Amino acid sequence: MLRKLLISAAKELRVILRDREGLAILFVMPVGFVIIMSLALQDFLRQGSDPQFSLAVLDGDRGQLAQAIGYGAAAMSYFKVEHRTPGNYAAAEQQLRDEVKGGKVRFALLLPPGVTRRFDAAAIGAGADPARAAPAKPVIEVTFIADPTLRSDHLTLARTALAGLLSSIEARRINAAVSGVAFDPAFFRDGGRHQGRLRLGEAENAPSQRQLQPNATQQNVPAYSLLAIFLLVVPLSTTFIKERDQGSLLRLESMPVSSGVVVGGKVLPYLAINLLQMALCFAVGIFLLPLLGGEALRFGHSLSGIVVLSMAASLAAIGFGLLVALFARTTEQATAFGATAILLLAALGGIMVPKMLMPATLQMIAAYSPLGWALDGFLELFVRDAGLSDLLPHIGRLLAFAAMCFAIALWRYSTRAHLR
Amino acid sequence: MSTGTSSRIAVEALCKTYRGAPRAALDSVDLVIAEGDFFALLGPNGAGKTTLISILCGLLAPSSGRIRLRAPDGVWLAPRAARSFFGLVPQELAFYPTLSVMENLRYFGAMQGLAGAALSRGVDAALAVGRLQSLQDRRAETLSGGLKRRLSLAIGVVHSPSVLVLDEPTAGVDAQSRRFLGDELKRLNAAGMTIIYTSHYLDEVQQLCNTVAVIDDGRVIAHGDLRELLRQDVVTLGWEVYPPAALIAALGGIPFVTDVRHDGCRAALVTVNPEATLSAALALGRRHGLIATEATMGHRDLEALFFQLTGKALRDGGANRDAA
Repeated sequence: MLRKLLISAAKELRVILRDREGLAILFVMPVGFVIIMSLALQDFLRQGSDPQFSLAVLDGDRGQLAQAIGYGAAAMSYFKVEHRTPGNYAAAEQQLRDEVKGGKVRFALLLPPGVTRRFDAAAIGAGADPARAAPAKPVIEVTFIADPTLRSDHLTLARTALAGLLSSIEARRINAAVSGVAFDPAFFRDGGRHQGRLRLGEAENAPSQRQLQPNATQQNVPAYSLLAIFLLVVPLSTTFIKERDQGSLLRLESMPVSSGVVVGGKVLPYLAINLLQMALCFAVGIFLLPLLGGEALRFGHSLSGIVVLSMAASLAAIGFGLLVALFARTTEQATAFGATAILLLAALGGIMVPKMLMPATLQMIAAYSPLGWALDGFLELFVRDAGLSDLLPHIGRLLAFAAMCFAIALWRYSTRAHLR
Repeated sequence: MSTGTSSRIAVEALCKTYRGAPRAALDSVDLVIAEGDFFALLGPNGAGKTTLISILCGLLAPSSGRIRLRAPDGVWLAPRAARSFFGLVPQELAFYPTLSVMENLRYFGAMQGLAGAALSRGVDAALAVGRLQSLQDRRAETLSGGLKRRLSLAIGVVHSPSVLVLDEPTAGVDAQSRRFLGDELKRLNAAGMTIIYTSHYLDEVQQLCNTVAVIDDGRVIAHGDLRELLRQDVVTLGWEVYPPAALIAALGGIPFVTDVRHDGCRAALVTVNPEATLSAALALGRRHGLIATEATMGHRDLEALFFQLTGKALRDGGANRDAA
């Protein structure tokens, strides 16, 4: 039995390896997805889920106001600040407007020559004599330009943050004038947060720490590796159906060969291919993505967790593939149903859109996707640095799903072959 | 049914009805196939041939009745237990196109339980049967149609089975390949292998087989030694007009006539005394006012026997019954 199983697996592997085009797709497709999606979603899925935008501060008067704004914005996690001090302000403004319009820079603040002086006059004047300043208080409006293609919530986020910063700067400037100390723009290097003696500490056990928030690499490397191994349903089922149509399965059934050998002979080579797919995608995440400007994949400490979880996910995929193969009548049926089912399960399982971005109802449905179970396991490993024991619920669900699929597939194979 | 020591396969009251089918695919089939027989199983499409072969090879379970095979050690076995004594050459080519000839033979040989030197011997012998030695490293998908059939046959005999079952093995191959396959099968049969053979090429069956069973609508309608079945002579008469029903009835009443087939302006009389039958038939025709324009005597061939037994009507309706 074992000898026949191994010979059967070797035959299957040989058949798979001789389909060079099919084999190339099995490996090229996930690697392509991993690279493209990890780089594309890099900003969107930055650690902590805060987006980061480029912000150019056009400093026309080289004054303290522009400096304070530059320091304060840079201290926020949302902005990557570029401080520009142009020779020709008008030309630089036009160029910056074009850059924002073209999407090269997401936001810009325009501080024309003399703006610090006018701000001082307005702010200090108001602080020195509030009663007199109130009716004639001049308004210094800082021009704010935004990329027109930005999402409205990102625009609101940036505008709120910068408006808060301007208020802080104004308050600090008035406070400095009233207390007679010099206004120091460098105060805003740490965001100007430590103004008082009484501070609120960081939230402990905040909800965001319970929900896994991966970066683009941590999300997409396992996600698209899993999509690839589950899409093995298509070649596995079509191979099986072709074997049936060509009669070789019939010939095998007429021989002293158990259904376990026939079915098991498919499992071993596809398991090996799945593990190779995972290894290749992880290698891309570790070595190639950083070279392309993405974040490197860090494994955490549980290599055994990665291997066992990968095998459990692979067995679930193979089990589902066999199920499709034994219920589909034609290769067209198997391809259409198999691919559609996997893509739906992938979408539900958070492969294409991270689960944390889904509404609560969809997140509940996502709990029924085998791809979601596997992805959650990998996120535990990569984001929370979990160990093998932490993964047991995910592995258990995947293995139970695989066992159910294998049991139904074996029953179907046996009844189809002998009990018609 | 008695199953003597020379019997290889015994089919007893075998019935098979597919789920949801209105009629039985096999209805109380009884057959005995002797050791060393070159046995032809004939019938129109949908008659039940493939169903019978599938049960014989353990691919299908019967609804009732049984099939037993006598193993070389004399023990009678059910089909599933006797699988290693069977070699099946299905209608389909039934091998892996991307594997080479040698890889296919070694794989199926191993699945039959051969290993080591026995496997190598089996593969060498099978290559010789298919005369494929010079092509052993060629991928099966690159072989011509005839060579593919030869590979399919070689895989069927790689484990030297006691019984070789061939389901239309020459369908779609050229005359030379048919001749080659026929010669190889005769050689295997002469060496003691029992062969069960289905084909729609009746001339081929007549040349190869020594026993035959004709099956139609799930029932065996003729079974026996082929020479015995073809021993009877036929007198054929033709007239310029349709013969009246009274004349046909009178022809059937001639003492030596065992069967009358009537088709348009012609009638064929199966008889054990052709000369006396011919005289009596011509006389009867004259009595009915008809002068025969054609009158011949001869032995009937398998095709004539087949049409006599199964008729000439097309059998489209039964195709689904035999699809399994």
